[in-house]
Amino acid sequence: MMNCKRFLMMVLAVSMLLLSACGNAENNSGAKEDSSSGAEGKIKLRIMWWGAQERHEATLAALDLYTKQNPQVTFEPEYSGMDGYLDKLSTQAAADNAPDVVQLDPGWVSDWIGRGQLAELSAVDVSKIDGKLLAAGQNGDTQYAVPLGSVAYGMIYDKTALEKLGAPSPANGWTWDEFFALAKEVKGKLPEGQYFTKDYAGDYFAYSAFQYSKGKGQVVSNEGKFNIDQATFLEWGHQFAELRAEGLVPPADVNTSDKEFDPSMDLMVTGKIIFRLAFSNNYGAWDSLKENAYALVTMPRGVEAGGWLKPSMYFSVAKSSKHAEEAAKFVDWFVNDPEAAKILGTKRGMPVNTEIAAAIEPELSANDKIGMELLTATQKDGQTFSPGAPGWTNYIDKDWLLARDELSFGEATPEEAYEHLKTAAQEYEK
Amino acid sequence: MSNPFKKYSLDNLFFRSFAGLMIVVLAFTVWTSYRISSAEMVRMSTYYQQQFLDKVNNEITSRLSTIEQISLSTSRDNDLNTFMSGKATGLNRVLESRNVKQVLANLTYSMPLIQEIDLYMNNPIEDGVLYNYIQFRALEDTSEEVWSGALSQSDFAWSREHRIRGQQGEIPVLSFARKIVYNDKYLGILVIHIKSDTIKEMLEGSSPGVNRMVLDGTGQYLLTTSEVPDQEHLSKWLQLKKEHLSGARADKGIRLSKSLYVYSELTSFGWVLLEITPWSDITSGSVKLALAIGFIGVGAVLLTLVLTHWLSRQFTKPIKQLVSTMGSYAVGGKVNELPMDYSNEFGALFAGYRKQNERIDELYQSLRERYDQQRKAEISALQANINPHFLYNTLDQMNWMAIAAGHDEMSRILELMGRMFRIGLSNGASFISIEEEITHIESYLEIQQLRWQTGFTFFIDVLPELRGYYLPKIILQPFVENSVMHGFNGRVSGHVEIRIRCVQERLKIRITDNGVGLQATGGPLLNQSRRTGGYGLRNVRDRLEAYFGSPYDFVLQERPEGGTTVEITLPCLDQPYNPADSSGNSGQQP
Repeated sequence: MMNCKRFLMMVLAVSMLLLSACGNAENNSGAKEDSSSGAEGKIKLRIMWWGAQERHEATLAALDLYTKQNPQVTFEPEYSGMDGYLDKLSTQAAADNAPDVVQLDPGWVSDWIGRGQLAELSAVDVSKIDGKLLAAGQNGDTQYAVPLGSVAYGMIYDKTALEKLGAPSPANGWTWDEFFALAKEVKGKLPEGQYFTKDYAGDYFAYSAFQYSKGKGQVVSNEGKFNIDQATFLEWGHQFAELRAEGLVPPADVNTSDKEFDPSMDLMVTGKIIFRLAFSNNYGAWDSLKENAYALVTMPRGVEAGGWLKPSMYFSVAKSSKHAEEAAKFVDWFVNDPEAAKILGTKRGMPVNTEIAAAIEPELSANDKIGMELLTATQKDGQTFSPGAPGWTNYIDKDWLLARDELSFGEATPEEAYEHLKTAAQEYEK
Repeated sequence: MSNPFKKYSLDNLFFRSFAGLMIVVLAFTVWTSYRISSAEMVRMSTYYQQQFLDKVNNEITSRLSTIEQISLSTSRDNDLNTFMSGKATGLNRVLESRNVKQVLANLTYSMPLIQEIDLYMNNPIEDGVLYNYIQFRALEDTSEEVWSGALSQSDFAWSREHRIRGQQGEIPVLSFARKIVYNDKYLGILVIHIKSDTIKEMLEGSSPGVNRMVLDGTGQYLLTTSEVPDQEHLSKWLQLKKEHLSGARADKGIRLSKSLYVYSELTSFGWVLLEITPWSDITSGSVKLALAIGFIGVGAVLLTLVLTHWLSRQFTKPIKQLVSTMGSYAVGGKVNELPMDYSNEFGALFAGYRKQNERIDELYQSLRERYDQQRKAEISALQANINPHFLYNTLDQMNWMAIAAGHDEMSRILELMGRMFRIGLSNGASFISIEEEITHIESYLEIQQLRWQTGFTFFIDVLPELRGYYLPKIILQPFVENSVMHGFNGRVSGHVEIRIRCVQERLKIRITDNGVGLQATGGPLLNQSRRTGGYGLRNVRDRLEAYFGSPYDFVLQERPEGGTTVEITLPCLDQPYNPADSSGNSGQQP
């Protein structure tokens, strides 16, 4: 009997040991459970662009599609209007914290390349893109920025307001003389608080169009030389001084409050002005704010055309990006993928990929088609676009802005403004 | 209640009690491990949450302090104050505003935490430029802002989380508002909106889905990473927290309504960082552990049960074998062999049983032998009687012939013989009374006297009370015949004495003669040449042996004075002995 007891005790002891051992093992493994739950292989691309609501929505939809096709890539989009965009982007770039993918205006690309802030985009297939558009994104043979679309610069006007005034609608190919004549025509018929157009006296782009139409070339030459034709500038200035005196352009404080595409601050949308400058691809943005109220027309001309075609904008990958390869892959997809093109339409202008442009043309929306008409009308003899000489961005964004306000507030005569601009240009000339 | 150990079968008992013990041990183990580990989990959770909250506390404090400092330095900015005092007009005012906006915008550009900066002032200027991040608003519009209440009592205040419209839709922000006073003149309010998602990310750390929040001093939440507990729980917790503080308890984990509340105080803001963890989350590990132990335990129990089953089988198998062997036992039948290889208690049990069986068999065998002897003796007796009726009738005829011939002696002899035959037959009974036995031997002796004419005498001494006792029939005759045929052979006189006494419950019969004794006759007991005598004595001995066995027997002895003595010892029987009871315990036997 002693043997049996001993055997039983042994069995018991062994089973207890087993139990406690198992218990310990459990304890140990339980402790190190939630340490490694990191997102392996997940990439988050930051992307930044400017635009109107319409472009934001289309772009976000395209990003969603890309994430669906490439689940490892997600996006942290940052988008806004044009105002402050470059400032913000430059600040971030200065902190080496620029988004991975950035949208750049053709005028800025050469500065960014010059500062070495862009990564090479050799991975992007640009074989189907017009070489003229590519040129502005290149340094030597290396592609740093990929064009996204081409747009025409022209005018948009409130056709219902114009009809109410009983004035004729302008036709493509009209002239600056007709523009100013039309202003005179509506004079007196305009209700209180409504004006013919913005005070473009000191507007760099409007004046550029005027100087082009006079056959006087660019405001700043490609070589980086001050090139405002004094007589042309004074003619322009005085024409607007007249409009200002006659109440055909808004007073200064109203003029400065204008905010493009803002439902409550865009002067045309709020019914304060009838004409404003516009890019062909933005028709939809305005139309969404007030349906069927607006029409596009070419930039008024003189001896030469006033308007021009330009690459609307470029995508680049920041040099500081930690996911430059993935970002480049995305840019490639953005310009070459037919499905992406369907979503994006002409929100960034006519697609630069010629095959895709041809493919989506039959499917274009009515609004896109209206933009296309302006594009076609401008294309005929439009001015050749130049990204401008590098280093002049602030001249356009700051010095011209000051000139605009001086003229608008009546603080400077056109002659004084010309002198100011001429003096300011000396800082940028090399 | 009856003792179960006396009631149920052995293997059942063994199995059940062992299984019961295992289950109790298992349940206790599971319960203990759950209790200990969950207590430990709570302690660890509290500790680590506390540490994390303190760390986050530092980070958030430094971030928010930076915002407060920026707000302060901005509010002291000369350009800003000049612009807000609103003295300039026209282009100068536009330029001033643009300048201020640029400064503020640069702040938002360089500090990603800042979502937007609003400036509330008299006669704000409408300016589209830089609209995206900086807004000038009218001072009258402040009443609906979330921070306006707090700001009415202070020069600066934080708001709780709220949403503002931005370029990218509704954006959740925390706002810091500060009154701008310059030269004792109230100019307006500077509001810095910071992205609350950034703070939330700091709160969440690397574990999304946690329930952490920032509460102000009154228990109103400013920011939370998930749902807010209802106000009732929060106020209860605040109450508990106060009690804990007054009790100077270092432990900052409080259990309340199925959740663990851990907090860290942002002293510079008077806020509290609070983390609420559902109790089930904390103890889920313990539950898992308990379950695992439970499962392993159940496995172990099952294994042990199998083992126990096997064990109990091992223990009860020999007992069952023994029981079945005992059940199937039949005397002289086929014996179920018990295993021989047990050397323990079972071995002893088996050996004992085996030995007992052997003894039973032995006993049975001896009984059987005795029974056979008895049968044989009886048959012999019957054979010895030959055909008594025929003899009897013949004797009667001879008697009549002797009477007719005038042989009176012969007639007497024949009469005596007839009496002897009658008694010898006695209807087939094996036992007769002493009275009858005496009659029988007297008849024989008288016949001998008639043959001898003179010289032969006998004396029978029986107490009258013994005459009713029984004894096997014709016990005396062989001895007396022996004395007459051998002891007195060739002699002219002889005397035979028969004495019957009852001594100590035993019938003692002594037969003495004065014959030649044993030597002269050459040992009549075993002398086969004298068939009659030898056969007679052997017959007596066999019968005694068959009926009674030892110590009932007879002894032949030489008398010193000459002659032979026979001492017969028999039981005292007051009724005929029943041979069927011979192996039983009839009570008559000593």
